[in-house]
Amino acid sequence: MRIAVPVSAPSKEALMDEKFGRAQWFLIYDSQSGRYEVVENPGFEASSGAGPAAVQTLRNHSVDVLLAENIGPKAKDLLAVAGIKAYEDYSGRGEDAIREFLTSQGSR
Amino acid sequence: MAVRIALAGGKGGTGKTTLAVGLARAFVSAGERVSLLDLDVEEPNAHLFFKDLREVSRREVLSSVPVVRQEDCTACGRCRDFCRFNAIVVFDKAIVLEEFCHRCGGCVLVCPEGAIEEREVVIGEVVKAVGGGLELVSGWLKVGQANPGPVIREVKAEGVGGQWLVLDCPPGSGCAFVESVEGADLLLGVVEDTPFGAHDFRKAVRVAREMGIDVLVVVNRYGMGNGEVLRVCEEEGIEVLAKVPFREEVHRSLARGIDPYSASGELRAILDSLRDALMARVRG
Amino acid sequence: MRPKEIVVASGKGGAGKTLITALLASTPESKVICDCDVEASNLHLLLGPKIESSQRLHLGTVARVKRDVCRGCGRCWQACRFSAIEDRDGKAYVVPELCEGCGVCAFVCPASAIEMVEEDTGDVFFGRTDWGELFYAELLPGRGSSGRLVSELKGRARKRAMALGCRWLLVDGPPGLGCPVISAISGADVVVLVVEASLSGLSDAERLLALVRRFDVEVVAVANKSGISGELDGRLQAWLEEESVPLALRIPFSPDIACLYANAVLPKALVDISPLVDCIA
Repeated sequence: MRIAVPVSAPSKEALMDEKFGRAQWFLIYDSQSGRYEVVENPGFEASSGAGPAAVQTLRNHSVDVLLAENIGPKAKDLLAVAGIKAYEDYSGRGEDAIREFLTSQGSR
Repeated sequence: MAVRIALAGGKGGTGKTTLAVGLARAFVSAGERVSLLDLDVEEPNAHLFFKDLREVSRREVLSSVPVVRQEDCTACGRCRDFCRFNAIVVFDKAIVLEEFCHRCGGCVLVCPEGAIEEREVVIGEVVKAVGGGLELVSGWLKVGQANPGPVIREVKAEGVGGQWLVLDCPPGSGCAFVESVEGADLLLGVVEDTPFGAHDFRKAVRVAREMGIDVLVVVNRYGMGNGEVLRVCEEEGIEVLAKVPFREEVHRSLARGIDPYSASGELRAILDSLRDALMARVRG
Repeated sequence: MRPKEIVVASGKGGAGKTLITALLASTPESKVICDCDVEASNLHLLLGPKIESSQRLHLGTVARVKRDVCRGCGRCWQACRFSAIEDRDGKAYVVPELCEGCGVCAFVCPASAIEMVEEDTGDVFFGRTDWGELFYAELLPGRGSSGRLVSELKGRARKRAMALGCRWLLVDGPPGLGCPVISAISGADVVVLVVEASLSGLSDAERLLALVRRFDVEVVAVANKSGISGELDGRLQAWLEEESVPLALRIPFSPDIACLYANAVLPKALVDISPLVDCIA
């Protein structure tokens, strides 16, 4: 499983970015390998369609789960189409959000 | 040939609709045939000032959006890469996101499989009605649609019955404004006597002049502000055809939808002389 | 913490958006202020910022024809959906006001005579006021990209508000329902719906609320120029109740307020904005 969190700086200690479509980076955790990586969201400054561009980025990186503080209704619909499970009301540091999620799932 | 008078002003809420309805009624009272076009299709209001409207026709405004034939899509991503508006995503197949689509048709052209075709969707409505001795054509942009341009064009195509076409234009100085005043014989600026009105009007004047449209002015709520609008007109060499003073009772009547031509004797006299000045100008 | 993004909107022009924004601006809350009415920006006239920087922006693209290369085959003007290319003396001519910058003409041109170039969109201004930093922009007259300019402007203001750790990003919205309004509302936490208590004001606010409902955003209402007729006020109130939108503040129709405001004086003594502030916070 690959879990993504929008973050405000390219590190796993970085705080989450509240607006997922406008986040410049995504922190991605791969539960198989146990590794973190940070990918850039090229659409973060897009004048049109930042939300779709962000979902496309997640999809291109084979993300299964998105944790965010807040996801707009349009982005939510699109995430569902992309087959990405989205969970809201996560905040704080990116790494902590991922841990919290894994704990709640009873996973490793 | 019909004469097209565009009422515009840059700032919102300066009295464009009031003056447009009032002027249209003044033309009617002089025995002229008039079409009033409500081109503020995002927030149309002219109809609120008529009590006796009878709807004559109602027509949908269509626009085409791309649809991907799933069985033919190979997910190559060329459509997504071409689209400058991020309106296409490719997961297993290409998906078009209507609300971001500008209807340029580019994706249809670039798809190597010919897998994208276009389908018509409703983006608004044009309603024609008669009442108060004139023809009123209003455009309604569907809520959620971003681009008023096609609806504005349809209203202009439909409202051609009168000798005088009075165009109630949207605020601003961007694309909706350009689309509305395009082809007008003159732009009658409705400018409120405030620093805000003067500031925003300057921009509208620049656009109108670039488009080769003559500009005249009605100062509204005259005496309320600092008179800056008169200085702007002088600087720009724009003739002020009328000054409408601010009257509390008239404001109260207009807020309730009382027709501006009947709201007060003073306003009616101003509208009549404005009409006469325009007729003299156009007919020599 | 992200700042709370508050967008003041009304649908109708002249309903009192800028007045309410300026009154909210004049409260002690830490904030960055952003005027998103880029076609008719007025907030700076009230707040009198000391301008510290301005920048010409080129957002999006516009088509340009190399006249010496164009063979006049006409494929571009047939393909353009925006009637933005005309046949002038047997060669293609781009009408920049109508060009959306989609790139279709450049794609269909067999002679590669069309290039997509950056378009001058408008100017962004940054200044300081007594109540916080202000961002505003002036769309170049007639440009079609006001929505993009709004997004860019708000993005800058948002970043600044975050960097400063402000509690609010306060946004004065444009009138209407189209592209610039959608860009202004997108990403908001709270929309302050300014309803002018007139037939037009109500009609416009109803349409705007239908738009706002498409976003995941909290709505509070201000009734402006109220008290003109009991019937209108009643309708306004009933409608807000039906829509479960709290009415935070009611400002009566008053020539005194109008006259002060018409001279760019903020009628702070005549309007107590605190009920709205409480409702937002």
